[in-house]
Amino acid sequence: VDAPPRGEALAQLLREHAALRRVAMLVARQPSAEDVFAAVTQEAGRVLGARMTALLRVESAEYGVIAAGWSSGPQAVPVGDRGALDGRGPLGRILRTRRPVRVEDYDEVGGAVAEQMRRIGVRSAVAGPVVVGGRIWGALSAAWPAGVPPPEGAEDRVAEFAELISYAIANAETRQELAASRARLVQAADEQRRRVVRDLHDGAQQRLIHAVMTLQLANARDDAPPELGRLVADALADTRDAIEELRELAHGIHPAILTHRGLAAAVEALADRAPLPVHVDIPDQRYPSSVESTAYFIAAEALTNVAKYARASTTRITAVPTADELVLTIDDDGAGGATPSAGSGLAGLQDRVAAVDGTLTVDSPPGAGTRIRAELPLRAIPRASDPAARRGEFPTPNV
Amino acid sequence: VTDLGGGWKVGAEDYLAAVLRATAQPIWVVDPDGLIRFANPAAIAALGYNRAAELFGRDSHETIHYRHPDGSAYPASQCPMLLPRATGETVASELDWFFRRDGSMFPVSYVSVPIDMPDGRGAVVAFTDIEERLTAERRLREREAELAEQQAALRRVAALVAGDASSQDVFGAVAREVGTVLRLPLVQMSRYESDGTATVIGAWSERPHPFRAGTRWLLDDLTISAKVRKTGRPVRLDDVSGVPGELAEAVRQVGIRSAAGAPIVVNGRVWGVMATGSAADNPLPANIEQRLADFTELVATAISNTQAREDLRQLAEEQASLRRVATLVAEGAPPDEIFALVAGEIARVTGLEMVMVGRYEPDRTVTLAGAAGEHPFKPGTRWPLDGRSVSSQILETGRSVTSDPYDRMTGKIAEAARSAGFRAGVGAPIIVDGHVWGNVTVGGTKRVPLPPDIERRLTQFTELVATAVSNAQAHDDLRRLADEQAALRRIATLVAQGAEAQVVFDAVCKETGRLFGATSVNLARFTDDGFNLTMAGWSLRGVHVPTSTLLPLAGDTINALVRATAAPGRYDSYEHAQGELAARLRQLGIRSEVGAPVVVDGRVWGALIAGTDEPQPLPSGTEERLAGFAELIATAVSNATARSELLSSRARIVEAADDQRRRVVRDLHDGAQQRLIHAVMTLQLANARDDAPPELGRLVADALDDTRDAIEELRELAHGLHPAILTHRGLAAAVAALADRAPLPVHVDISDERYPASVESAAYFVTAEALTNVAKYANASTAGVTTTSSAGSLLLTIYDDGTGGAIPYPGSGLSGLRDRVSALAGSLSVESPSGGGTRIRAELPLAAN
Repeated sequence: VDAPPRGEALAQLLREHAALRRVAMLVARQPSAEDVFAAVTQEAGRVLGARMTALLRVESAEYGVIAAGWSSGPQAVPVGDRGALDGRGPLGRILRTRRPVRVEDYDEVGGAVAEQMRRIGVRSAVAGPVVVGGRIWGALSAAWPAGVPPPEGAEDRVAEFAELISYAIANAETRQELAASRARLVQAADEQRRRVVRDLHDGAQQRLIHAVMTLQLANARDDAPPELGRLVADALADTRDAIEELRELAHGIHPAILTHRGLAAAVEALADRAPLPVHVDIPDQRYPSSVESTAYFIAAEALTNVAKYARASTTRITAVPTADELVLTIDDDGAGGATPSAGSGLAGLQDRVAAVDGTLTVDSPPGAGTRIRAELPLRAIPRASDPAARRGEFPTPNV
Repeated sequence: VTDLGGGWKVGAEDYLAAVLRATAQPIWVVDPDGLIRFANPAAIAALGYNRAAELFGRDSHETIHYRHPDGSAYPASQCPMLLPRATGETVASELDWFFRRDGSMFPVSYVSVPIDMPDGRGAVVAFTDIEERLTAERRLREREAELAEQQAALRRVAALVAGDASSQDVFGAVAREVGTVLRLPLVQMSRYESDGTATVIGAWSERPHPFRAGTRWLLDDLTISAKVRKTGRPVRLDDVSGVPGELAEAVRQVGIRSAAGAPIVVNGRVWGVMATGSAADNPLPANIEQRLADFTELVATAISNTQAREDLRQLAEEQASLRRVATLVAEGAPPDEIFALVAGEIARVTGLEMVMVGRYEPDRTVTLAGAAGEHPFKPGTRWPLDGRSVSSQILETGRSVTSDPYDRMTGKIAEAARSAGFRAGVGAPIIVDGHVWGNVTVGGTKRVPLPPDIERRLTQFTELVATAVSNAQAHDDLRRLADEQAALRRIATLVAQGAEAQVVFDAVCKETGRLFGATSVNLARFTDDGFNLTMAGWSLRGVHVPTSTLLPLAGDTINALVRATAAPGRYDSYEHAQGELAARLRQLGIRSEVGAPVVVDGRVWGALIAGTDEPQPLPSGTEERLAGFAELIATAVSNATARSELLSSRARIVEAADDQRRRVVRDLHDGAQQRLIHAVMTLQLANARDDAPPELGRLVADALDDTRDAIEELRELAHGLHPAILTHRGLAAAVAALADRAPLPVHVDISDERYPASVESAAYFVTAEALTNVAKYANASTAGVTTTSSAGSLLLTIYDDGTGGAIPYPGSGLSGLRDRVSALAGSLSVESPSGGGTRIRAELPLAAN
């Protein structure tokens, strides 16, 4: 059994624990990739006394790319540089062995990486694998100039930092996959609604319109025996009612006007049917269908609530698109004091909004009207089980 | 006539005779025949005669010069004194021997001068009795020899002194030399002690005596030793018979009658005495005091040298000792090792029998950290500072305590020291970072008194001990910090890995318990309705509030305090605390607790609480350090909440979509479909009539067809959204219906029971999609659908005997269903080895999400 460390060895151990603890705590808080990468490269570099550290990511079978870096010297780490994976550099070796590596002298290694290392004044290096979901995502490496060999066991210690990066990436992927799954479910439900509406429109409704027209002809004839004429008139009335019901149903499922003419027209239509004056200020342009649906249903639910509870004299619906999101606001001059309770229509919309990575806030001070504000990101939702998309789910800064 | 030149003139005889008679120089005249012709009174007297007539005419040689001093015959022919008669030359002799009338012999120097006499040549002899001079000379020679002997003795003593012989050997040898040289029967040297006694350092006698080296004698007033000490000068006492006391009695027992002594003055101080005595038959030499003093001076030099050397040796030894301690300190050895070494080293360099290194405890006790010697103060023992002791004085003053007799001290320590035979103690404080951390105390017995300047020497050691303690504390701090960082790192890594919250809770309780030396650790959650719910616990001895315990969050507990303040805090005693929770803790033996809040999204979610059953509360600062762990719990809770919120949000979306589908189906069924069925029935009636004109009948028939088609389409649409059979009759019937419509035989083995709507719906659509795929791609001859219930889940399997090799996704209809299944916290897997059929499994938890 080794004697417990004392003096400088203990102090170094403490520094290592503290550095790893800081990184682990950071990763535990599930921050952005940039934060994790910056913290890991800096902490590992400092605690190991390295000239520079770099997070290398496997970009393809042929190339690795420097995803992040930290340097204690004047020479910055060339973040964004690609290097060929010729199997001689740390990342190449890790891809082969899946274990921490140590390169005592790049001069004896050769290959593309060694050339690059010499150029930035580095002679030796260690690296540890970043493994995500069983595959080598990349490697964390630390490098030293000539005359400063890596401390003993540095490769194992850098591997401990690399492991924390693995967690960060895995966490983010899990989290994003979960969020994406939710978004896809919303999208799928929207699509199904649109399909149902289309199917109704193209199928049953067309048939019934034809039937109504036929029955109208029949009804218009004056040669029908009275009993028959009554039967035809009854059938006509039933069929017309059925058409109307289907139209209402379809509208409730997904208004055709939203599909065909977009958010501005659909909300205008809503406003027309509202029992109070509604001022609509929505640019007449198209947005991703999930955004249009979400915005439409928020507007519809808000107007229903205004009509039901707000005792308002007027309402205004505004949509302002920015580069990244659509901001929808519904203001009324009513009684205020609205609290979106669980099970209310608005609360149900929270999930939809969250699913498209947006936010929904209700500001309703008593006596001062109600303002509902939704911020809906305009970016596309990643599809499930698309490996390329999944890899891209964890954004790599500066690459 | 009075020619008094070279030869006497007979003519001047009278005159000459008159002169000769007056002179004190003995003179006589020998005639040519060798007979005495004349002798002056001085000569007559010197030769022992009374009258000149007794000599006149006698043969000079035969009368006064007839024998050699050794008694042998001296023939006249050989006598040089007579030679001038023959030779005419003067003869002189510095030493010869004459014989008196009574035959006694005496030494003389003489001169014999030729003299012309009427009857030939004679001789005049003048002589001097040199007996006295010879005696003086001999005495002188003797004295010189004696001195030489003494000098030799002194030289030998000096050599002894300069040599490496031990002090005792030296003093013994000196006593022997002095005794031999001065021919004295007893010589002893003693060192004066501070208590009116003297310790014999060396003695010699040819007789038996009690003055062994090391023996100690009380100096009664009248003894030589007492007088020498008092006066600082040599003293002589010719009769010791009346001197009282043990020492004088012992001296008399040896047979001493008279005594003398001289001081041994070392560095200006009367250090000791050299005393001697003489027996009754042999009085002391007159100058004995001076002669003793000659020796004591040498002895003093020797002692001074020895002391200097001893001081040097002691200094060197002390320095070596300090270096050993310093080395150990520098190596960062464990404090216990250093305390033991320090105690041992102090014992060695001081020769003391009691050395202790004590550490002050907060409760006015002192714990022995190290000790040397045979005494009750063993390392690890704890002593109350209940009286006046060296330790208590050092604690009070922060300063060294100079030699303090134990019989003036009180309390348990002093008692124990006294009964162990210690007379006095000296101590020096160990001051660490400005505080009196402990002390080093030494004790002396009668046999081993406290050496001078002991405090200064202790201080050198206490400074090293202080450094060691300070280093050790710094080391411990570092170690503790490293342990804490490692523990935080382990927990943070656990949280970072996305471990289950409960796993994190348990790990935190265990890690913090060990790290902070707590007896128990609990994680409490504060419920909205004012209860304390124990989420996790750990304890050293298996005593802690068990998980899931729900108690009112009221009364005096750290839980209530942390909840109220939202800050780390402590409760140093539960002895009189109110409330059920406090009572429960008392029951578990917990005496005090510290706690830190777990703050999630700005609200005090709960608290991490560490307690101890020791009388001392956990060290201050523990609550703040606990906060680091509480923060990780908060992160874990927050992560778990976020994740579960995301999961339930997803589940709600699926639920909402399902609801909407069912509602649409119901609305279709209750609304349009009912109307249309009515319309169809009406039209059938119309169509059935035979009174319709042909054109009208055709229109009615067309409308009937359209309406029927519309109904069928709505039915299909509804079925696709959510089959009515599923709603009304459940999964088994719905899947059986699916199987009936499949183009290949499908074996269905599904229990008739009902499941939650979302589960039935997901299972139904997975089955529908799978059977569609089988029909489309599998090239299978048969397929099957089975369900089993297991561990709260519905396990659905759809299999076929087709070609396999199905790529599960992307693009296949199953991929959309995967989200739906996982939204229900279920899982979907596809197993499709090439040529080995396809097997799709869905696991759907039955519990509400």
